[in-house]
Amino acid sequence: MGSSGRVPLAVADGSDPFTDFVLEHRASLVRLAYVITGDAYLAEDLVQATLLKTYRFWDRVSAADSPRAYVRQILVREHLSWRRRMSSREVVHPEPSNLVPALATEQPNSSDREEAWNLLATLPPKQRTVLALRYFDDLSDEDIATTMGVSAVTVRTNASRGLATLRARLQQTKDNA
Amino acid sequence: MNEDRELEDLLRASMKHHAEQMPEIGSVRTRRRRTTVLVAAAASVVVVAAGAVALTSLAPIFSTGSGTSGSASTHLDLGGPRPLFGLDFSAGDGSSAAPTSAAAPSSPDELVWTPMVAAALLTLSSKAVEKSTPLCSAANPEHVNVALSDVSAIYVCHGGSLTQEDGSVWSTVIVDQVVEGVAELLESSGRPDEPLTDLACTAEGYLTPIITVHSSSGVHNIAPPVDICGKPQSRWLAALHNLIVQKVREIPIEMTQSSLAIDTGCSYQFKDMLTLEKPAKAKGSPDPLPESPLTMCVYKSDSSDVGTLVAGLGLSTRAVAAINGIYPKIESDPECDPTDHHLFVILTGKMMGWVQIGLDGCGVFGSPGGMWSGSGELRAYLTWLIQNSGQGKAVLSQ
Repeated sequence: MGSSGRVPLAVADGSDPFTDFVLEHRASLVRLAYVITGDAYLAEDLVQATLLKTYRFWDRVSAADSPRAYVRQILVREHLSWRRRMSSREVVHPEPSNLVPALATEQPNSSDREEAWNLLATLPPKQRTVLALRYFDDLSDEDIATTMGVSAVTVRTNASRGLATLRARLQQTKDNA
Repeated sequence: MNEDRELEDLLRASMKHHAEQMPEIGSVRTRRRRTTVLVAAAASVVVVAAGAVALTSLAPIFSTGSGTSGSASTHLDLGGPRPLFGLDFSAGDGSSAAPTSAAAPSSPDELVWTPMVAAALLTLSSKAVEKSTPLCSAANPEHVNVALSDVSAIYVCHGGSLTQEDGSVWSTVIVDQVVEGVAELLESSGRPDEPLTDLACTAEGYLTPIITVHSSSGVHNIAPPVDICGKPQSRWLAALHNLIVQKVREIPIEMTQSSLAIDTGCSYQFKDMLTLEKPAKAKGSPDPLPESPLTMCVYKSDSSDVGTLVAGLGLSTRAVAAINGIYPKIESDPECDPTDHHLFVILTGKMMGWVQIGLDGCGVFGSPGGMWSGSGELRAYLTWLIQNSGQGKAVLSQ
């Protein structure tokens, strides 16, 4: 909060560092949240919760080497925390649009793409989060470990299991086709 | 290896494609489970900022007098200049600065009162007096466009709690005069409302204090300019947050804890449980009281179902044993009307919950185990105890 102990809601020229940050990064955070959750509404909620937390600890976030990485960490941990809290009382289904067969006008590999997306939704949250951070945000396993608050070995284990599951299910789908 | 590379490429393509094609969040969320309703795109910046301020800084000013509030002071204190919100965001607990020190409470003639303050305090009572020229006015809230040079004073009215010299605790109305931050407040108050959005908004509520501008053009009650969600604009909330104020009035409105209650350890008021519902009549006699010192709190209820404390005394183990000796004489009486009493006692102690006994009417006896008709002997004994406590004259003559 700085020496004054207050959040810098606005500075003299009328700009607001927090607002600027949100304007710049919100869209990419929502996209990341969508890839992690597979649910547009849940992604919006997750980003909202993340930004509220970011606002409260803005002095810490803004002082970080990479505020965006710091906020991504908040988002990922918030997501895993949510999942823990909700796991006993809520079942998250894939968006209906995700279940619609690929349109014929799409690229030749679009059905595989859709299938991969749908299968991602069936993975445990940690495995899906690892894969999202690795293949969507292009983070190294070490950075993923930092973001999730786990060891790099755990990251590799989750990635390996997630990929193995996807591979097996994709093959099964092809065999059934 | 090639299979792995193909799968990884497929995942990259799938994630990228779906992130780009992510469904737009519609204007109103009609689907499932979330309690939070969101504003799409950049509008959420405003909501996020405003929401955080509202949650952490506006709520505490209306936390009113249960007698345990941190804002209670031993005496009335007008104090020196202080931030309107004595908050440390880093702590994030929303606690407010506690006033201290002394002066006599304002006399009833000085009451400054508005219906909005009353509603905020939840203590609307006949003691409230609407003055012809109050410092704070809740009437006709408006966007105030007043030049700084025309302003003679700005007052902020909100709720608080006060501990009097006799130990009683009162809910109060506090009138603060703004001493710093006037220009920012006026500037942000003069802004126009933003057009309301068709999009859904987050659902947090706002309780803003009454802010009255006294100027050469008259007395104006500030209506905060609102954002697209109809909530106070973040700039206005920031100006409110940064105000430095000086307390000029603190008016006790309603007692929430009497000195008698504090001295005796009894609750100031007690819900007359027997008048609320008629429990099933129990068979046999009530369970005996634990033979340890108990407290007997005496309440008087008039037309309401809430009794007000009129006396409180401790019962020795000998007195408790005597009461237990009378218990077998307590019987169920189908003709007994449990609402037929205006004076009742609550017996309570560390080893038990409570039992309630009517001292008039048919002397109904109620406990979590059931309801009986209290015997005349039990009522006579309890009345004798009250008379001999030195409080009997005050209680039983009422």
